[in-house]
Parts: sequence; C-alpha cells; structure tokens
Amino acid sequence: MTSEKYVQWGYDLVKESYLKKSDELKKKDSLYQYHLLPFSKDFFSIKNSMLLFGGHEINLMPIGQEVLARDGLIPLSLFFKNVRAKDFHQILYIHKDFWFLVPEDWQRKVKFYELLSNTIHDLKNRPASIFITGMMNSSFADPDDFENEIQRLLKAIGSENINNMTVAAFLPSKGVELWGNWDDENILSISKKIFQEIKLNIETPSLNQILSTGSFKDTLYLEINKGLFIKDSFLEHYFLARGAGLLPKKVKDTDLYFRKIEELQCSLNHSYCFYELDYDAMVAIQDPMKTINFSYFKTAAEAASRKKVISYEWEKWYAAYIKRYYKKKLIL
Amino acid sequence: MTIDTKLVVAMFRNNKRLLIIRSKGESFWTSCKTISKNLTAAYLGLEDREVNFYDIPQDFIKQDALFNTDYIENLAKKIQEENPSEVVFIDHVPHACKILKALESFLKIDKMPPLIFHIYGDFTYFSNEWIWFSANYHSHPVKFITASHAQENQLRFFSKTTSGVHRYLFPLDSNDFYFSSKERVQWRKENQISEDEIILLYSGRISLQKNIDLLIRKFVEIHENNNKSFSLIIAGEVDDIGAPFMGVKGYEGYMFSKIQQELKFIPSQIKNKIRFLGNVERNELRKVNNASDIFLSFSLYHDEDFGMSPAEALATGLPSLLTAWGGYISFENSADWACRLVPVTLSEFGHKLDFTNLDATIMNYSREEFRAERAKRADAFMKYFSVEGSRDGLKKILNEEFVTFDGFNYLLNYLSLAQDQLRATGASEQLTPSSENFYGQIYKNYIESNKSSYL
Repeated sequence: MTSEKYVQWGYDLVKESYLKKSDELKKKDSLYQYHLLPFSKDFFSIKNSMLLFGGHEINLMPIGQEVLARDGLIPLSLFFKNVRAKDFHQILYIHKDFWFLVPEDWQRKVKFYELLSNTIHDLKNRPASIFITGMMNSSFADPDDFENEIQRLLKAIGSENINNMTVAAFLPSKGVELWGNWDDENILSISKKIFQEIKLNIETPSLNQILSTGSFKDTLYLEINKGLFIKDSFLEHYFLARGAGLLPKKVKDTDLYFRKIEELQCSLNHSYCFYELDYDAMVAIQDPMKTINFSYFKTAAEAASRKKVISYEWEKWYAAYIKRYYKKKLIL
Repeated sequence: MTIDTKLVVAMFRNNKRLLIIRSKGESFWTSCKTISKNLTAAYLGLEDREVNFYDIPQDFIKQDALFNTDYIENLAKKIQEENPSEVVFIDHVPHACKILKALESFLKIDKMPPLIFHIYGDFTYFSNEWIWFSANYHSHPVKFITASHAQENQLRFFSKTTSGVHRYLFPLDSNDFYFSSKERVQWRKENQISEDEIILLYSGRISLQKNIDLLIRKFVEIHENNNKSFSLIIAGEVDDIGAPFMGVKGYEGYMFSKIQQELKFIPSQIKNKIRFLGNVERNELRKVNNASDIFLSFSLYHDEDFGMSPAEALATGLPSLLTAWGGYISFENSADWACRLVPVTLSEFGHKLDFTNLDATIMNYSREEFRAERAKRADAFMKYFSVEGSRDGLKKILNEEFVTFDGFNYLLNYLSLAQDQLRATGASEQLTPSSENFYGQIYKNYIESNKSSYL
C-alpha cells in the first residue's frame, strides 16, 4: 500500500476544459444567453455539455472529444449552417427532438440525448410540491404553451389533488424585446392561467432561495420550454440532481428509431440517455417540415424579422435546407 | 472613539439576560442546522440566565429595504428595551458583522451590550467583515467562542492578543445520536447486508475538499489487502461549491462526474460494494451509523473547524479514522472512545497524508471484541459532547469576565488583500495549499494542534 498520498485540489481545476471561454467570443455571442439565465448557466458533465454559441473554443478542442449541445432549435440550425462537417473533428450530441436538423454529411458525427429522471410523478406517485418554471419571453413559451403544459400537469397529477400540494412558480423575465412576438399582457395571461387552473395560493421563491435549497425530494419539476434556444437547462439539472421528478414522458412514434447506446448518470437521481438514429427508417415515417419544432422556428423567425434580431432570411434558409436535405428521401 | 470596557460591562452586568440572535430559516449546511439547534438547547438549559431570542432572515437587508420589514430597527429596539447582559450570535449566516453594521444607524456602539460570537470555520472567508468589526468595536467587551483547538489557534493567529478567545464544542442532542444494536441489525437486514460484512462509513457533504475520490481509492486498497469482506457507504449530498477559499470554482455536476470517473476504473466486484445513499434525514443517519463498523473521513476542508459528522458517528460508539486536520484532531487522545488520525503534513506542493497505519487500524477496529464495547464508547463520548454533558463548559465561559477586544492584527488585512486578488483574477498564489505561502501560515494551525483533545 502506498504510504503517502498528495492531495492537491489546486490542480483539480476544471482548467483547459470547455468551460474556459475566449473573452472575444464571450462578448460577441453570449448576450442572448445572459438573458436566459439561470436556465443557460454553465454546468459540468463529462460529455462537455455546452451552449454552442456561448463563446466556447470548439476549434481548440481535442480531436475526438465529445460535445453535448444544450442548445435549442435556432442555435443548432445556425451551427449546422455555419460549420462544415469536414471541419468538425469532435462527436456532437444534440437533443433527440432535433433529429431532423442533422444534414446528411453530419450524420456520422451526431448522436442524440435526452434527460431522464429516476422519479416520475403521476396519479400513483403524486408529489408533495410542484415547481413550475420557464422564461417569460417567447424563447421559452407563450400563453398557449402554458395552457397545454398546465393541462398535461392536471391530467397527470389530477386537478383535485393539487390543492393539497405546495405549488411554487419561478417565472423570470429578462430582455423580452430580444425575442419578439411577446405581448406584455402575456404575463398577466399566464398568471391568470396558473391561478385559475392550478390554485390561488402559489409561492414565488427567489433564485437565491431556490439555489440555497438542498433537497427537492417529492417535488415535481415542470419547465415550460419549447426549446427554441435552450433545450438542456441548468435549472432542470439542478432540481433533478436534488431529487425532483418529472411528468411521464410524451411517447412519440419516432422513439422507435432511436437505438439506446449509453446511459450516463449525472447525479444519483438523473441521467442522460444517448442514442443513435436509423435515419432512413425515421424519414420514411416523419415529414420534418410537419414537426412541431418547425412551426416553432417559423413563428420565431417571423416575429424576430420585424425586430431585426433574427433575419427573415433564416426562415428561407431553413426551409431550403430542410428540403434540400430530404429531397432524396421524401416527397415533400 | 474609545469605549470604556469596564463601563459597558458594568452597565449591563446587573441582569443575567442573554439575547441570542439566530438565523430565521435554516442554514443550507446540514451540519450548521444541527449546530444551531443544539447550541440553542445548550443556552436554554442555563439555569442562572434568562434567554431570549431574535430571529433574523439571511436577506434581512433586502427585506428591510424592499418590504418595510424593520428587522434591524426592531432588533435595536429590543436591545434597548430588554437591556441584555450579553448579545450572542450563534449562527454563521447572516454574518454577525453585517447585522452589527446595519445596527449602527439605530444604536450607538457604546450602547451595545457585551458581545459573544460563536466562530465557525468560515472565519477566514469573511476577512473583510471581521476587519470592519476590528476597526469599529475596538475596546468593546467581546468573547469569541471557537469549537476546537485548531480554530482557537487560527483565531489567535489573527488576533493582537490571545485573551477573549474561548473554546466550547458544538454539542450533540442525545435524542438524535445514540447506540442501538437493534438498529444495526434492522438496517442491515433492510439493506441486505450480512452481519459479518464490515461497513466503512463516510457521512457528510460530497465536496471537493472532503476527498471522497481518495476515500474510494483507499477503500479499494483496503479491500485488496485484507481477507475480510468490506462495504463502503457514502451518505450525503453532492456539493459543487468547489474550493472557493483557494479560487477553485465549482460547477454543478462536477463532483458527481469526478466520483463516477473514479468508479469507472474499479473492478466491478469492488464497485458493487460502494453505495451512495444521497441526503439522509437525521434518524436514518443514526441508523446508518449504528449499522456501520468504522467511520472514515479524509477531509482537508479549509473550514473543518469541528467535524459534526465524526462527532455523530462517535456518539453511536463508531470507531473513527480521520485526518489530523482542524477540529478532527481534538477527537483523538481519549481512551474512552476510539478515534485515530491519519497524519497530515503540508509540503511546498500541497497536503500530504500518511496512510502507513491504515490497514492495521482498520483491522483493529473491525474486531468482534472491539464492536462489543460500542455502547460503552458511545456513552463515554456523550458524557462530554451532549448538550447536557457539555453545558458546564458553556457556563464557565459565560461566567468569565469580559476582556477588551484589542482588534485583529495585520495578518487579517493581508488575508483580505489576497482574497481581493483572488476575486479579481480567479487565483492567488498565497491561498493555494502550500507550506511556502500564506495558506501554509494560516492552516498550520489546523495541523499543529495534535496534542489538544476536547477533554
């Protein structure tokens, strides 16, 4: 047995990791992520979870390194537009909802992920409390999305049971003008839905209170987020790591074509599940132009074009790109 | 302004009324929740003093500013109306100095009763706050109460004089932690662990400076070097705070990934013997302690001023093997309970642990006959460490005369400068673990206390 051991955390820094950002890029591209805090906050995983436009120096990453893109639909499509597959020497993981974004020459380099919780809350396993969150701007949800998610919640847990539960909402609002398509009245409308359809007595913890809570056992985490900009959020990891559960997954026909390759525990309570995709089988049953994500993209692009934040050109590019990619496989 | 200590003490000494200022809402740190609860119980049991409380939220400044809650103004009124003989701060948050600073607008310092502070290991982290206190409360009657020799030494290192620094441990509630052979059998049965399996236990936060990765590596060696069957149980929540004192930033998810990477290279038959329980409630933690055979902690945490988890283990009679670091050191040197230390030295390149006697200690502690004396060891430990058993120590401190606070010395200013540099640049060569820098000077107090027990 070795008799002496050095212990030196000075060298235990996450140094030289992807978390180190270049100052130049940080200034240039991190603005929208600032407005999506705390959902966009950095966290660590050995798959290098990151936001692709967060100022990371991907070109400096070692060849073969894995990169897990936490990004939503729009940054991902921009990424596939800007970066050529032959220039990318790493392995990219994107959320499985965005499978249809992957250009043909990228397919070899892209795998898929989703986040799973050990705890699923439903009628049989009801939580003691419910935590509802989302960003109050159009990057996350509009009142219709809230309505849909609230209905899903009520169905899963039973509206009659919610009165006995503690309900907390954390709905920050920053930089509304950045995203377009957002009426100031939306906040009132969403608040009304929460009060009318869930309950009147809602707690509203501050971020500091949330981040100083050590355990979210018996808590249902509900993030209302259509994933336009951030798909894999800090807050979801934070809650799940501390014991929170999720609603049952929405089962989709397309799930059949994802082959599970690996599961990586992120904490004692939650994990990433990784998949490969049978693209040919998938596109035979699913027209990517008819996915809900494409409609989200269109809405965002149209709204943003008025604000000059996201050019109308993007929508044209996106449609052309999808069509070009699938023309060999689909009759559109 | 010079304060006449004798006059201040005389103004307040005719009554024996304590005003204890506590945190409203529990501390995030599990050990501090326990400490606050048990210190409260220790004060409440004082027969010769009336004890009153004032609870103040951690974000009192914000609440007073935004919601007109008047926490500070009401505290000032309470002090004036009740005229307590001493004001006691027992929690680490909100920081006592922040409360005192806010009180300045409502209560002059010369109207402030003598002050008692329970000092935590985070003293070094709040250098700016204590520098403010040093400048403003110079000559005020003050007592500092530390929980171990190591913390006492460290506080004296930063003080102009050695007087006014006392020691009273963080007591344990004998209803929370005690030995139960029934719980041992029951927990093992529920968790499908056989009676002859030797359970090594770590409880506490899974944090960078707690060295859980090292603990796992040592467990593998113990497993390989000995013929008996061992399990390692790790009870506690993952904490990604990093090592802020020395500028190592933590990221959510980092510690868990680090531990997973450590486990990846361990043979599966050994890996299967390692269980993570996550955060466990106090009652469950007592059962886990009772079910276990040896407590291990190789922590080198920069504010390990006491060691609540080892104390809880020792309260159940569990023999413990700990690093000779900070408050842990004072648990040794008793024939009445079983605690051995892994020697720690600080070299130019960081901490060095000497595990020469690890196997021998493990084998000694896992003997059947050693286990048979567990109830006796638990009782002996709680004789000194329970709320009731330790209260005389608190009484003694309270009955001692106050001395004039002479202020902290220039070393605290130097620490503050180093911390400013750390905050500005993300690193300070003075604060990384080494014998050749300022860290070495501060933390030699956490190493060179080997001969001081709690007894």
